[in-house]
Amino acid sequence: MHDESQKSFESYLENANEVGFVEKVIHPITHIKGLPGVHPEELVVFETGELGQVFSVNEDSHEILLFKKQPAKIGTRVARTQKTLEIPLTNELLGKTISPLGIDVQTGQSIQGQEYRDLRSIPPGISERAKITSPLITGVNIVDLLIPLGKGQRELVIGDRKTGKTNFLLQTMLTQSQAGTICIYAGIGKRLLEIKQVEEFLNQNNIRNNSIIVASSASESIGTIYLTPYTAMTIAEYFRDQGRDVLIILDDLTTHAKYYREISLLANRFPGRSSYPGDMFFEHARLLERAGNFKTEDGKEVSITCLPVAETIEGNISGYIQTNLMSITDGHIFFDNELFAQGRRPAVNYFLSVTRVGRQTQSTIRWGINRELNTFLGFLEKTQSFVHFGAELNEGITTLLSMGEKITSFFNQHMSVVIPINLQVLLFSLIWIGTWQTASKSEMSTDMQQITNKYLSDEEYRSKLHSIIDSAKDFNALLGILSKEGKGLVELAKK
Amino acid sequence: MTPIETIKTTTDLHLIRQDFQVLLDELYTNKPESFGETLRTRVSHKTHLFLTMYFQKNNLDFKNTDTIEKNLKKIIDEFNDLNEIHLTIALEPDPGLISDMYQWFKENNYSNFVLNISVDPRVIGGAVISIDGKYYKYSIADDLEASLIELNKNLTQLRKIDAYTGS
Repeated sequence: MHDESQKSFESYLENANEVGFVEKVIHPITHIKGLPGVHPEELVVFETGELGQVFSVNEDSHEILLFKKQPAKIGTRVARTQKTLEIPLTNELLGKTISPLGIDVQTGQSIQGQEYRDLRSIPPGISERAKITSPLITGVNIVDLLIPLGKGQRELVIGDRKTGKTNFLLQTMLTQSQAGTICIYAGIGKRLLEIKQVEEFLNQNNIRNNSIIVASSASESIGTIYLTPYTAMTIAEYFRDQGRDVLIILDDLTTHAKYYREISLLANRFPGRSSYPGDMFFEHARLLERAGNFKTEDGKEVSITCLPVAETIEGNISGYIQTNLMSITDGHIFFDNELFAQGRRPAVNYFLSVTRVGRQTQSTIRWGINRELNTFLGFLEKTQSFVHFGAELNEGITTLLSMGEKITSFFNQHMSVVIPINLQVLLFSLIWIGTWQTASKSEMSTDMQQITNKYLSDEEYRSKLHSIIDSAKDFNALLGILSKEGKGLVELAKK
Repeated sequence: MTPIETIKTTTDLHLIRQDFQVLLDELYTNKPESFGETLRTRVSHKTHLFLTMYFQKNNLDFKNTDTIEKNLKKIIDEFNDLNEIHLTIALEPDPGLISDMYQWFKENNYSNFVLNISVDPRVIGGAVISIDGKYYKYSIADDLEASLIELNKNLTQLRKIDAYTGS
């Protein structure tokens, strides 16, 4: 093995006719002298077999970002490869967990690619993009009805640690994978246990074959962790070019920013706000701009939907990286610590969440639901604040609060459950027309569970629901139909 | 020959740097008139020769502490500006060979340099040279290997013919 790698190192030397020597090491930044013709971002190989990428080119020496945990030794020879860092791309990536350098984590072998692409491609221009018109269904009630997403949207998922962000993302992956979308999960500097949990979720739900995990654990080299989201996005572009819709999750970009800050400080870059490098915004913007809805050559549309994750501390969304990401993306879903503590799952704070392009993808019925819910929830919030004063409540207020409780209960959803959009519309409409006005929350939950089970198992029942929804031209029309047939549907589900 | 040309290899340079540190330390502990004594007894002959040549050439006084210190530091800066020429050869060179190699580079218009010589038997003959980041392989190892492969191929064919003809 040593002879082979030695042979290939010698061949790199002879091809480029240039050599460098390590003269200073501030791991993972290695300063080398020599290599007069090297380019920025070029891949270099060390005599000992390690790979590195040129971080900067200077007159006297060059900075190399090393992709290995152990530092290089002074005096080690370095050769140019005369190419930039590329990763292997092939359909056989599906179902695999790979490292950011394209190595299969299970076998430890490099993937043999049908194609090799540079990690830093230029985002497509304006003329290649199309308006976002197709909805992206997550299977989570509160998001699909209140904070709708579209295919090609970049929606930031933001919140404190342990507030259910990853659970929501896995639910979205489950729904989309079942719909045929390729799902890519990029775990950036995650614990090995967390990556394993994601793998197990995909296996248990039989969506492994439609998913790819690009994983870098916290124990790996900083250079490798830094590359993770770029590798994931390059893989997404490969499948997009095959005409497949892709969902990519970057978990999480605040960690990515921390590692990039560490690299920049070690490379002696002048620190900016919070010691982050001056090009922090550019790094993330350039990455996220590669997602979107695109036109293909044959006139169709294909999308890369990106859900980057950002972590906050004590709910502070005014941090540097968080505000950067909020301005780059097309909206954000905020996971509230307080709501999580109250037992709400998912702990999405609708009032602090935004979707900038999701509404244009909604059908007329969903748009109607969204409008009604918006008004209702705003009014409910104000009313609940008055209730604290202990004033006497009239019938109208009591009904409002009761409806609020039922809707809150409807939005509570177990992490392993995803609900198809038509079923969400139906269940909400049944609540809205007062089907369970006099029933308790547990009775309502039981009936809903029965309807859900019937919907998923009975083709005839499912078709009936779909035909009811399709026959309604808007939300009010749907309510009109369900006021006659709603109770019948509930009774039918109990049989 | 200039004083700096007495330092031909990185090994020489390393030794002379160590000696310079000893001399600089001595300046603060002993009287300046004993600098000459230190030079004769506590450093290598090469360093002694180098400094004697240097001070003579520049008409400097061994007794003046400031002058000695200033010039020692100036020489250290000159050492830092020396370019390294990396040479990989098959055998450990003797001093004569080192001088010849140094002279060759000097005659081919290289200046202000020092040789970093490493030994690798796989070179077999010739040398592998790195100058200013450029890599030049003048080893006969690859040619020998190609010749051996060709020879082996020919021998195999001959054996086949022999087997066929029965001779």
